[in-house]
Amino acid sequence: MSTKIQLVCAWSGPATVVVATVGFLIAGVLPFPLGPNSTVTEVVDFYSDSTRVAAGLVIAGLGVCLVFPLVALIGVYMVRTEGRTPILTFVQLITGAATGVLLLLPLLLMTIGSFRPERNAELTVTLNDVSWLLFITPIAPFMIQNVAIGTSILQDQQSLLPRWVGYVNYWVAFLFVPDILAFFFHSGPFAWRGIFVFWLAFVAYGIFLMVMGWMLRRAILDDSVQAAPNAVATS
Amino acid sequence: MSEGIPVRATVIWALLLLATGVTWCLGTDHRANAGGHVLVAMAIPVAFSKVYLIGMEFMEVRTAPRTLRVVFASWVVSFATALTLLYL
Amino acid sequence: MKVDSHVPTDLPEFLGGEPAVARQQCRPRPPAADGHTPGEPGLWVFILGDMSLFGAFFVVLLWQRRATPRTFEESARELLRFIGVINTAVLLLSSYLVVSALWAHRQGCWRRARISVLAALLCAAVFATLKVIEYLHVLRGGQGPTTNQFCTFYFVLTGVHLLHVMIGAGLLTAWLQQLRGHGSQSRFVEGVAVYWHMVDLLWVVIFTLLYLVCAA
Repeated sequence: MSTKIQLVCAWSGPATVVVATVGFLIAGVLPFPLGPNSTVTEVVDFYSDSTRVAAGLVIAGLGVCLVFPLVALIGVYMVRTEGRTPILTFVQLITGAATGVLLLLPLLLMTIGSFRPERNAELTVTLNDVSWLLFITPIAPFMIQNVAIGTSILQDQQSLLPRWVGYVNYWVAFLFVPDILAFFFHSGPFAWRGIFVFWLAFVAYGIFLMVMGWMLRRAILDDSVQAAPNAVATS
Repeated sequence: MSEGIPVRATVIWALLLLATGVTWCLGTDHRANAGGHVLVAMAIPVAFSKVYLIGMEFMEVRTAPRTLRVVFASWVVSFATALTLLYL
Repeated sequence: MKVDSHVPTDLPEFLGGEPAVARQQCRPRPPAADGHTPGEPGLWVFILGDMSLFGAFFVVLLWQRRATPRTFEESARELLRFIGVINTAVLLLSSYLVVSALWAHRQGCWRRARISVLAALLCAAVFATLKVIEYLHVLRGGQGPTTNQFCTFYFVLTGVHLLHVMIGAGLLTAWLQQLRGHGSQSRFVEGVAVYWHMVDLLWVVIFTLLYLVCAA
Protein backbone atom coordinates (compact mmCIF):
# COMPACT_ATOMS: atom_id res chain seq x y z
CA MET A 1 0.00 0.00 0.00
CA SER A 2 2.78 2.33 0.94
CA THR A 3 4.44 1.55 -2.37
CA LYS A 4 1.40 2.76 -4.27
CA ILE A 5 1.29 6.00 -2.26
CA GLN A 6 4.98 6.52 -2.84
CA LEU A 7 4.51 6.01 -6.56
CA VAL A 8 1.75 8.63 -6.59
CA CYS A 9 4.10 11.02 -4.78
CA ALA A 10 6.78 10.33 -7.36
CA TRP A 11 4.37 11.14 -10.16
CA SER A 12 3.42 14.39 -8.46
CA GLY A 13 6.83 15.74 -9.50
CA PRO A 14 6.16 15.70 -13.24
CA ALA A 15 2.52 16.48 -12.51
CA THR A 16 3.56 19.78 -10.93
CA VAL A 17 5.25 20.77 -14.17
CA VAL A 18 2.34 19.75 -16.37
CA VAL A 19 -0.47 21.27 -14.32
CA ALA A 20 1.35 24.51 -13.59
CA THR A 21 2.31 24.92 -17.24
CA VAL A 22 -1.26 24.32 -18.38
CA GLY A 23 -2.47 26.87 -15.85
CA PHE A 24 0.08 29.43 -17.00
CA LEU A 25 -0.84 28.88 -20.64
CA ILE A 26 -4.52 29.42 -19.91
CA ALA A 27 -3.82 32.53 -17.86
CA GLY A 28 -1.50 33.94 -20.51
CA VAL A 29 1.54 34.03 -18.26
CA LEU A 30 3.12 31.69 -20.79
CA PRO A 31 4.49 31.96 -23.40
CA PHE A 32 5.05 35.70 -22.99
CA PRO A 33 4.94 36.86 -19.37
CA LEU A 34 4.54 40.47 -18.32
CA GLY A 35 7.77 42.22 -17.50
CA PRO A 36 8.91 45.11 -15.30
CA ASN A 37 9.06 47.24 -18.43
CA SER A 38 5.52 46.39 -19.55
CA THR A 39 3.43 49.51 -19.88
CA VAL A 40 0.61 50.25 -17.47
CA THR A 41 -1.84 49.62 -20.30
CA GLU A 42 -0.36 46.20 -21.00
CA VAL A 43 -0.58 45.20 -17.35
CA VAL A 44 -4.15 46.40 -16.94
CA ASP A 45 -5.18 44.70 -20.18
CA PHE A 46 -3.70 41.44 -19.00
CA TYR A 47 -5.72 41.39 -15.79
CA SER A 48 -8.87 42.73 -17.38
CA ASP A 49 -9.59 39.33 -18.94
CA SER A 50 -10.26 38.39 -15.38
CA THR A 51 -12.15 35.10 -15.64
CA ARG A 52 -9.61 33.43 -17.88
CA VAL A 53 -6.63 34.78 -15.97
CA ALA A 54 -8.09 33.78 -12.61
CA ALA A 55 -9.00 30.31 -13.85
CA GLY A 56 -5.52 29.73 -15.26
CA LEU A 57 -3.79 31.00 -12.15
CA VAL A 58 -6.00 28.92 -9.88
CA ILE A 59 -4.98 25.83 -11.84
CA ALA A 60 -1.33 26.87 -11.68
CA GLY A 61 -1.69 27.48 -7.95
CA LEU A 62 -3.08 24.00 -7.46
CA GLY A 63 -0.33 22.62 -9.68
CA VAL A 64 2.57 24.04 -7.71
CA CYS A 65 1.20 22.48 -4.54
CA LEU A 66 1.81 19.06 -6.02
CA VAL A 67 5.38 19.74 -5.03
CA PHE A 68 4.54 18.87 -1.41
CA PRO A 69 4.08 15.10 -1.89
CA LEU A 70 7.34 14.95 -3.82
CA VAL A 71 9.16 16.73 -1.00
CA ALA A 72 7.79 14.17 1.42
CA LEU A 73 8.88 11.28 -0.79
CA ILE A 74 12.37 12.72 -1.12
CA GLY A 75 12.41 12.88 2.66
CA VAL A 76 11.48 9.20 2.90
CA TYR A 77 14.44 8.25 0.75
CA MET A 78 16.83 10.63 2.45
CA VAL A 79 16.02 9.35 5.93
CA ARG A 80 17.06 5.85 4.86
CA THR A 81 20.51 7.10 3.98
CA GLU A 82 21.24 9.05 7.12
CA GLY A 83 21.02 6.67 10.03
CA ARG A 84 20.81 8.08 13.53
CA THR A 85 20.96 11.79 12.71
CA PRO A 86 18.84 12.64 9.67
CA ILE A 87 19.83 16.29 9.62
CA LEU A 88 19.83 16.68 5.83
CA THR A 89 16.42 15.01 5.71
CA PHE A 90 15.06 17.62 8.09
CA VAL A 91 16.70 20.45 6.15
CA GLN A 92 15.09 19.18 2.96
CA LEU A 93 11.67 18.82 4.53
CA ILE A 94 11.75 22.30 5.98
CA THR A 95 13.11 24.05 2.93
CA GLY A 96 10.98 21.93 0.60
CA ALA A 97 7.88 22.99 2.49
CA ALA A 98 9.04 26.59 2.21
CA THR A 99 9.51 26.28 -1.55
CA GLY A 100 5.93 25.08 -1.94
CA VAL A 101 4.60 28.06 -0.05
CA LEU A 102 6.89 30.44 -1.94
CA LEU A 103 5.44 29.16 -5.19
CA LEU A 104 1.82 29.22 -4.06
CA LEU A 105 1.61 32.58 -2.37
CA PRO A 106 2.76 34.70 -5.35
CA LEU A 107 0.29 32.92 -7.58
CA LEU A 108 -2.51 33.66 -5.14
CA LEU A 109 -1.48 37.30 -5.18
CA MET A 110 -1.46 37.28 -8.96
CA THR A 111 -4.93 35.77 -8.96
CA ILE A 112 -6.08 38.57 -6.66
CA GLY A 113 -4.77 40.96 -9.29
CA SER A 114 -7.51 39.79 -11.56
CA PHE A 115 -10.20 40.04 -8.88
CA ARG A 116 -11.12 43.69 -9.44
CA PRO A 117 -9.58 44.75 -12.74
CA GLU A 118 -11.40 48.10 -12.73
CA ARG A 119 -9.36 49.31 -9.75
CA ASN A 120 -6.78 52.09 -9.94
CA ALA A 121 -4.18 51.09 -12.57
CA GLU A 122 -1.27 51.87 -10.26
CA LEU A 123 -2.59 49.39 -7.72
CA THR A 124 -2.78 46.68 -10.36
CA VAL A 125 0.77 47.39 -11.48
CA THR A 126 2.00 47.27 -7.90
CA LEU A 127 0.18 44.02 -7.23
CA ASN A 128 1.73 42.62 -10.40
CA ASP A 129 5.20 43.73 -9.26
CA VAL A 130 4.67 42.17 -5.85
CA SER A 131 3.47 38.86 -7.32
CA TRP A 132 6.28 38.52 -9.80
CA LEU A 133 9.12 39.55 -7.53
CA LEU A 134 7.82 37.29 -4.78
CA PHE A 135 7.61 34.46 -7.31
CA ILE A 136 11.08 34.88 -8.80
CA THR A 137 13.45 36.06 -6.10
CA PRO A 138 13.36 33.84 -2.99
CA ILE A 139 16.03 31.42 -4.16
CA ALA A 140 17.53 30.44 -0.81
CA PRO A 141 15.07 27.74 0.26
CA PHE A 142 15.27 26.18 -3.20
CA MET A 143 19.06 26.21 -3.25
CA ILE A 144 19.37 24.86 0.27
CA GLN A 145 16.92 22.10 -0.58
CA ASN A 146 18.91 21.15 -3.67
CA VAL A 147 22.22 21.17 -1.82
CA ALA A 148 20.75 19.01 0.95
CA ILE A 149 19.45 16.47 -1.55
CA GLY A 150 22.68 16.46 -3.55
CA THR A 151 24.83 16.02 -0.48
CA SER A 152 22.61 13.25 0.85
CA ILE A 153 22.77 11.32 -2.41
CA LEU A 154 26.53 11.65 -2.74
CA GLN A 155 27.05 10.53 0.85
CA ASP A 156 24.77 7.56 0.48
CA GLN A 157 26.76 4.35 0.69
CA GLN A 158 23.88 2.29 -0.62
CA SER A 159 23.28 4.48 -3.68
CA LEU A 160 19.51 4.33 -3.34
CA LEU A 161 19.47 6.92 -6.09
CA PRO A 162 22.11 7.14 -8.84
CA ARG A 163 24.90 9.56 -8.03
CA TRP A 164 24.30 11.69 -11.10
CA VAL A 165 21.01 12.77 -9.53
CA GLY A 166 23.00 14.34 -6.72
CA TYR A 167 25.09 16.25 -9.22
CA VAL A 168 21.96 17.41 -11.06
CA ASN A 169 20.73 18.87 -7.78
CA TYR A 170 23.95 20.84 -7.35
CA TRP A 171 23.66 22.10 -10.92
CA VAL A 172 20.03 23.16 -10.45
CA ALA A 173 21.05 25.09 -7.32
CA PHE A 174 23.53 27.12 -9.37
CA LEU A 175 20.92 27.81 -12.02
CA PHE A 176 18.83 29.70 -9.47
CA VAL A 177 21.59 32.16 -8.59
CA PRO A 178 20.81 34.86 -11.21
CA ASP A 179 17.20 35.18 -9.98
CA ILE A 180 18.03 37.68 -7.26
CA LEU A 181 19.12 40.08 -9.97
CA ALA A 182 15.43 40.57 -10.77
CA PHE A 183 15.36 43.23 -8.08
CA PHE A 184 17.87 45.34 -9.94
CA PHE A 185 16.72 45.37 -13.54
CA HIS A 186 13.62 46.47 -15.36
CA SER A 187 14.64 45.04 -18.69
CA GLY A 188 17.12 42.75 -20.33
CA PRO A 189 18.21 39.19 -19.58
CA PHE A 190 18.30 39.74 -15.81
CA ALA A 191 14.85 41.28 -15.38
CA TRP A 192 12.17 39.08 -13.87
CA ARG A 193 11.05 37.85 -17.28
CA GLY A 194 14.61 37.77 -18.61
CA ILE A 195 16.10 34.65 -20.08
CA PHE A 196 18.48 34.10 -17.19
CA VAL A 197 15.83 34.66 -14.55
CA PHE A 198 12.34 33.42 -15.38
CA TRP A 199 13.20 31.05 -18.21
CA LEU A 200 16.31 29.58 -16.63
CA ALA A 201 14.54 29.04 -13.30
CA PHE A 202 11.48 27.57 -15.01
CA VAL A 203 13.62 25.08 -16.93
CA ALA A 204 15.88 24.31 -13.96
CA TYR A 205 13.03 23.66 -11.55
CA GLY A 206 11.24 21.62 -14.20
CA ILE A 207 14.34 19.48 -14.66
CA PHE A 208 14.56 19.01 -10.90
CA LEU A 209 10.93 17.88 -10.61
CA MET A 210 11.12 15.55 -13.59
CA VAL A 211 14.43 13.97 -12.62
CA MET A 212 13.49 13.46 -8.97
CA GLY A 213 10.05 12.12 -9.83
CA TRP A 214 11.35 9.73 -12.46
CA MET A 215 14.35 8.44 -10.52
CA LEU A 216 12.40 8.05 -7.30
CA ARG A 217 9.80 6.07 -9.17
CA ARG A 218 12.55 3.75 -10.39
CA ALA A 219 13.94 3.42 -6.89
CA ILE A 220 10.51 2.59 -5.47
CA LEU A 221 9.95 -0.08 -8.09
CA ASP A 222 13.42 -1.52 -7.49
CA ASP A 223 12.70 -1.67 -3.77
CA SER A 224 9.36 -3.38 -4.23
CA VAL A 225 10.97 -5.96 -6.50
CA GLN A 226 13.56 -6.65 -3.82
CA ALA A 227 10.94 -6.85 -1.11
CA ALA A 228 8.73 -9.26 -3.06
CA PRO A 229 11.02 -12.35 -2.74
CA ASN A 230 11.08 -11.82 1.05
CA ALA A 231 7.28 -11.67 1.17
CA VAL A 232 7.10 -14.92 -0.70
CA ALA A 233 9.56 -16.52 1.74
CA THR A 234 7.61 -15.60 4.89
CA SER A 235 4.12 -16.49 3.68
CA MET B 1 60.02 9.30 -4.20
CA SER B 2 58.51 9.32 -7.69
CA GLU B 3 58.77 10.67 -11.19
CA GLY B 4 56.61 13.66 -10.25
CA ILE B 5 54.37 15.55 -12.59
CA PRO B 6 54.67 14.32 -16.20
CA VAL B 7 56.62 16.52 -18.61
CA ARG B 8 53.62 16.62 -20.90
CA ALA B 9 51.61 18.60 -18.32
CA THR B 10 54.40 21.14 -17.95
CA VAL B 11 54.67 21.58 -21.71
CA ILE B 12 50.91 22.07 -21.98
CA TRP B 13 51.01 24.66 -19.23
CA ALA B 14 53.75 26.58 -21.00
CA LEU B 15 51.67 26.45 -24.19
CA LEU B 16 48.68 27.84 -22.30
CA LEU B 17 50.70 30.75 -20.96
CA LEU B 18 52.00 31.42 -24.45
CA ALA B 19 48.50 31.34 -25.87
CA THR B 20 47.41 33.80 -23.19
CA GLY B 21 50.09 36.14 -24.41
CA VAL B 22 48.94 35.66 -27.98
CA THR B 23 45.29 36.42 -27.19
CA TRP B 24 46.39 39.48 -25.23
CA CYS B 25 48.23 40.80 -28.25
CA LEU B 26 45.41 39.90 -30.59
CA GLY B 27 42.95 41.84 -28.49
CA THR B 28 45.03 44.90 -27.86
CA ASP B 29 44.26 48.18 -29.54
CA HIS B 30 43.09 47.38 -33.02
CA ARG B 31 41.44 50.20 -34.84
CA ALA B 32 38.07 49.50 -36.37
CA ASN B 33 39.35 48.30 -39.72
CA ALA B 34 38.33 45.01 -41.26
CA GLY B 35 41.71 43.41 -40.59
CA GLY B 36 41.64 44.33 -36.92
CA HIS B 37 38.13 42.99 -36.58
CA VAL B 38 39.18 39.56 -37.85
CA LEU B 39 42.30 39.49 -35.69
CA VAL B 40 40.25 40.13 -32.58
CA ALA B 41 37.77 37.47 -33.65
CA MET B 42 40.66 35.00 -33.75
CA ALA B 43 41.11 35.49 -30.04
CA ILE B 44 37.95 33.45 -29.49
CA PRO B 45 39.10 30.22 -31.18
CA VAL B 46 42.47 30.61 -29.50
CA ALA B 47 40.74 30.90 -26.14
CA PHE B 48 38.68 27.79 -26.85
CA SER B 49 41.81 25.94 -27.93
CA LYS B 50 43.10 26.67 -24.45
CA VAL B 51 39.81 25.38 -23.04
CA TYR B 52 40.25 22.22 -25.12
CA LEU B 53 43.81 21.71 -23.86
CA ILE B 54 42.82 22.26 -20.23
CA GLY B 55 40.03 19.76 -20.62
CA MET B 56 41.95 17.11 -22.50
CA GLU B 57 45.20 17.32 -20.56
CA PHE B 58 44.49 18.75 -17.11
CA MET B 59 41.01 17.31 -16.66
CA GLU B 60 42.29 14.07 -18.23
CA VAL B 61 39.41 13.81 -20.68
CA ARG B 62 41.96 12.48 -23.19
CA THR B 63 42.02 9.15 -21.35
CA ALA B 64 38.31 9.14 -20.66
CA PRO B 65 35.70 6.98 -22.41
CA ARG B 66 34.90 8.01 -25.95
CA THR B 67 31.45 9.41 -25.10
CA LEU B 68 32.90 11.98 -22.75
CA ARG B 69 35.66 12.94 -25.18
CA VAL B 70 33.14 13.46 -27.97
CA VAL B 71 30.74 15.46 -25.79
CA PHE B 72 33.49 17.67 -24.45
CA ALA B 73 34.99 18.30 -27.86
CA SER B 74 31.53 19.07 -29.26
CA TRP B 75 30.92 21.57 -26.50
CA VAL B 76 34.18 23.35 -27.27
CA VAL B 77 33.61 23.43 -31.02
CA SER B 78 29.95 24.52 -30.76
CA PHE B 79 30.53 27.42 -28.44
CA ALA B 80 33.71 28.51 -30.19
CA THR B 81 31.86 28.63 -33.50
CA ALA B 82 28.76 30.31 -32.11
CA LEU B 83 30.70 33.00 -30.29
CA THR B 84 33.03 33.72 -33.19
CA LEU B 85 30.08 34.05 -35.55
CA LEU B 86 28.25 36.30 -33.09
CA TYR B 87 31.24 38.59 -32.88
CA LEU B 88 31.81 38.89 -36.61
CA MET C 1 1.78 -16.83 11.09
CA LYS C 2 -0.38 -13.96 9.97
CA VAL C 3 1.18 -10.52 10.40
CA ASP C 4 -1.27 -7.71 11.05
CA SER C 5 -0.40 -5.37 8.21
CA HIS C 6 -1.61 -2.28 10.08
CA VAL C 7 0.94 -2.52 12.88
CA PRO C 8 4.21 -0.89 11.78
CA THR C 9 7.03 -3.26 12.49
CA ASP C 10 9.95 -1.19 11.24
CA LEU C 11 10.84 2.15 12.77
CA PRO C 12 13.28 4.36 10.89
CA GLU C 13 16.78 4.15 12.23
CA PHE C 14 16.80 7.61 13.82
CA LEU C 15 13.84 6.59 15.99
CA GLY C 16 15.65 3.52 17.18
CA GLY C 17 14.85 1.09 14.44
CA GLU C 18 17.20 -1.29 12.74
CA PRO C 19 19.70 0.15 10.27
CA ALA C 20 18.54 -0.30 6.72
CA VAL C 21 19.73 -3.45 5.03
CA ALA C 22 22.21 -2.74 2.30
CA ARG C 23 20.28 -2.92 -0.90
CA GLN C 24 21.57 -5.07 -3.73
CA GLN C 25 22.27 -3.18 -6.88
CA CYS C 26 19.54 -4.04 -9.35
CA ARG C 27 21.45 -2.66 -12.26
CA PRO C 28 25.09 -3.71 -12.14
CA ARG C 29 27.20 -1.22 -13.98
CA PRO C 30 29.48 -2.74 -16.61
CA PRO C 31 33.09 -1.60 -16.23
CA ALA C 32 34.07 1.07 -18.75
CA ALA C 33 36.02 -0.71 -21.42
CA ASP C 34 37.61 2.26 -23.11
CA GLY C 35 38.95 4.64 -20.52
CA HIS C 36 38.72 6.07 -17.04
CA THR C 37 36.18 8.75 -16.33
CA PRO C 38 37.87 11.44 -14.23
CA GLY C 39 36.01 11.62 -10.95
CA GLU C 40 32.83 9.79 -11.84
CA PRO C 41 30.28 9.91 -14.67
CA GLY C 42 27.67 11.76 -12.60
CA LEU C 43 30.10 14.60 -11.94
CA TRP C 44 30.23 15.39 -15.65
CA VAL C 45 26.50 16.09 -15.67
CA PHE C 46 27.31 18.95 -13.32
CA ILE C 47 30.51 20.02 -15.06
CA LEU C 48 29.06 20.14 -18.57
CA GLY C 49 25.84 21.63 -17.23
CA ASP C 50 27.70 24.41 -15.44
CA MET C 51 29.91 25.03 -18.46
CA SER C 52 26.77 25.31 -20.57
CA LEU C 53 25.27 27.85 -18.18
CA PHE C 54 28.32 30.01 -18.68
CA GLY C 55 28.21 29.24 -22.39
CA ALA C 56 24.68 30.64 -22.47
CA PHE C 57 25.91 33.75 -20.63
CA PHE C 58 28.65 34.17 -23.25
CA VAL C 59 26.24 33.80 -26.15
CA VAL C 60 23.79 36.34 -24.73
CA LEU C 61 26.70 38.68 -23.93
CA LEU C 62 27.89 38.76 -27.52
CA TRP C 63 24.31 38.88 -28.78
CA GLN C 64 23.58 41.96 -26.66
CA ARG C 65 26.85 43.49 -27.80
CA ARG C 66 25.64 43.59 -31.38
CA ALA C 67 23.12 46.26 -30.44
CA THR C 68 25.56 48.67 -28.79
CA PRO C 69 29.15 47.74 -29.67
CA ARG C 70 30.51 51.21 -28.96
CA THR C 71 29.11 51.30 -25.42
CA PHE C 72 30.53 47.86 -24.79
CA GLU C 73 33.88 48.99 -26.12
CA GLU C 74 34.04 52.09 -23.93
CA SER C 75 33.03 50.28 -20.79
CA ALA C 76 35.31 47.33 -21.47
CA ARG C 77 38.28 49.64 -21.87
CA GLU C 78 37.72 50.84 -18.32
CA LEU C 79 38.67 47.40 -17.04
CA LEU C 80 42.19 46.89 -15.78
CA ARG C 81 43.41 44.55 -18.43
CA PHE C 82 46.71 43.81 -16.76
CA ILE C 83 44.85 42.54 -13.70
CA GLY C 84 42.85 40.32 -16.03
CA VAL C 85 46.05 38.91 -17.55
CA ILE C 86 47.65 38.36 -14.14
CA ASN C 87 44.50 36.64 -12.94
CA THR C 88 44.54 34.38 -15.99
CA ALA C 89 48.15 33.44 -15.30
CA VAL C 90 47.39 32.92 -11.61
CA LEU C 91 44.53 30.53 -12.37
CA LEU C 92 46.59 28.67 -14.98
CA LEU C 93 49.30 28.26 -12.37
CA SER C 94 46.76 27.02 -9.84
CA SER C 95 45.50 24.46 -12.36
CA TYR C 96 49.05 23.28 -12.92
CA LEU C 97 49.50 22.96 -9.18
CA VAL C 98 46.30 20.93 -8.94
CA VAL C 99 47.61 18.58 -11.64
CA SER C 100 50.81 18.26 -9.65
CA ALA C 101 48.83 17.62 -6.48
CA LEU C 102 46.74 14.93 -8.14
CA TRP C 103 49.83 13.11 -9.40
CA ALA C 104 51.45 13.37 -6.00
CA HIS C 105 48.27 12.06 -4.38
CA ARG C 106 48.16 9.10 -6.74
CA GLN C 107 51.78 8.27 -6.04
CA GLY C 108 51.27 8.53 -2.30
CA CYS C 109 53.59 11.54 -1.92
CA TRP C 110 51.43 13.19 0.72
CA ARG C 111 53.77 16.04 1.54
CA ARG C 112 54.13 17.15 -2.07
CA ALA C 113 50.39 16.86 -2.54
CA ARG C 114 49.72 19.01 0.52
CA ILE C 115 52.17 21.68 -0.62
CA SER C 116 50.65 21.76 -4.09
CA VAL C 117 47.09 22.07 -2.81
CA LEU C 118 48.12 24.80 -0.38
CA ALA C 119 49.85 26.66 -3.19
CA ALA C 120 46.72 26.35 -5.33
CA LEU C 121 44.69 27.76 -2.45
CA LEU C 122 47.13 30.63 -2.26
CA CYS C 123 46.57 31.28 -5.95
CA ALA C 124 42.83 31.34 -5.30
CA ALA C 125 43.35 33.92 -2.56
CA VAL C 126 45.47 36.07 -4.87
CA PHE C 127 42.81 35.82 -7.59
CA ALA C 128 40.04 36.85 -5.22
CA THR C 129 42.06 39.76 -3.85
CA LEU C 130 42.89 41.07 -7.32
CA LYS C 131 39.24 40.71 -8.29
CA VAL C 132 38.11 42.78 -5.34
CA ILE C 133 40.70 45.44 -6.12
CA GLU C 134 39.44 45.53 -9.68
CA TYR C 135 35.80 45.77 -8.60
CA LEU C 136 36.65 48.72 -6.35
CA HIS C 137 38.49 50.42 -9.18
CA VAL C 138 35.60 49.96 -11.61
CA LEU C 139 33.01 51.09 -9.06
CA ARG C 140 35.03 54.17 -8.17
CA GLY C 141 35.25 54.91 -11.88
CA GLY C 142 31.49 55.35 -11.77
CA GLN C 143 30.45 52.11 -13.43
CA GLY C 144 28.16 49.84 -11.50
CA PRO C 145 26.21 46.67 -12.33
CA THR C 146 23.28 48.70 -13.60
CA THR C 147 25.18 51.32 -15.61
CA ASN C 148 24.84 49.52 -18.91
CA GLN C 149 24.55 46.03 -20.39
CA PHE C 150 28.29 45.44 -20.50
CA CYS C 151 28.74 46.38 -16.85
CA THR C 152 25.87 44.09 -15.90
CA PHE C 153 27.50 41.19 -17.68
CA TYR C 154 30.90 42.08 -16.26
CA PHE C 155 29.73 42.06 -12.67
CA VAL C 156 27.38 39.08 -13.04
CA LEU C 157 29.81 36.90 -15.02
CA THR C 158 32.83 37.59 -12.85
CA GLY C 159 30.67 37.50 -9.72
CA VAL C 160 29.22 34.07 -10.43
CA HIS C 161 32.72 32.94 -11.41
CA LEU C 162 34.11 34.26 -8.14
CA LEU C 163 31.42 32.28 -6.33
CA HIS C 164 32.69 29.20 -8.16
CA VAL C 165 36.25 30.05 -7.11
CA MET C 166 35.22 30.26 -3.47
CA ILE C 167 33.39 26.95 -3.64
CA GLY C 168 36.48 25.52 -5.34
CA ALA C 169 38.61 26.81 -2.49
CA GLY C 170 36.29 25.02 -0.08
CA LEU C 171 36.70 21.79 -2.05
CA LEU C 172 40.48 22.18 -2.11
CA THR C 173 40.40 22.66 1.66
CA ALA C 174 38.40 19.46 2.00
CA TRP C 175 41.07 17.71 -0.09
CA LEU C 176 43.71 19.11 2.22
CA GLN C 177 41.89 17.63 5.19
CA GLN C 178 41.80 14.26 3.49
CA LEU C 179 45.54 14.52 2.94
CA ARG C 180 46.13 15.16 6.64
CA GLY C 181 44.69 11.77 7.33
CA HIS C 182 46.54 10.30 4.32
CA GLY C 183 43.14 9.51 2.85
CA SER C 184 42.89 8.31 -0.70
CA GLN C 185 39.34 8.69 -1.97
CA SER C 186 40.39 9.07 -5.56
CA ARG C 187 36.86 9.65 -6.84
CA PHE C 188 36.46 12.73 -4.66
CA VAL C 189 39.95 14.06 -5.25
CA GLU C 190 39.73 13.68 -9.01
CA GLY C 191 36.34 15.37 -8.87
CA VAL C 192 37.76 18.34 -7.00
CA ALA C 193 40.57 18.60 -9.55
CA VAL C 194 38.14 18.50 -12.47
CA TYR C 195 35.98 21.20 -10.83
CA TRP C 196 39.01 23.42 -10.32
CA HIS C 197 40.11 23.04 -13.94
CA MET C 198 36.60 23.99 -14.97
CA VAL C 199 36.89 27.19 -12.93
CA ASP C 200 40.16 27.88 -14.74
CA LEU C 201 38.88 27.25 -18.24
CA LEU C 202 35.77 29.34 -17.65
CA TRP C 203 37.95 32.26 -16.64
CA VAL C 204 40.01 31.89 -19.83
CA VAL C 205 36.87 32.54 -21.88
CA ILE C 206 35.56 35.25 -19.55
CA PHE C 207 38.86 37.11 -19.80
CA THR C 208 38.98 36.79 -23.58
CA LEU C 209 35.42 37.99 -24.07
CA LEU C 210 35.09 40.74 -21.47
CA TYR C 211 38.57 42.21 -21.48
CA LEU C 212 39.69 41.68 -25.05
CA VAL C 213 36.90 41.01 -27.50
CA CYS C 214 34.43 43.56 -26.13
CA ALA C 215 37.13 46.18 -25.79
CA ALA C 216 38.32 46.00 -29.38
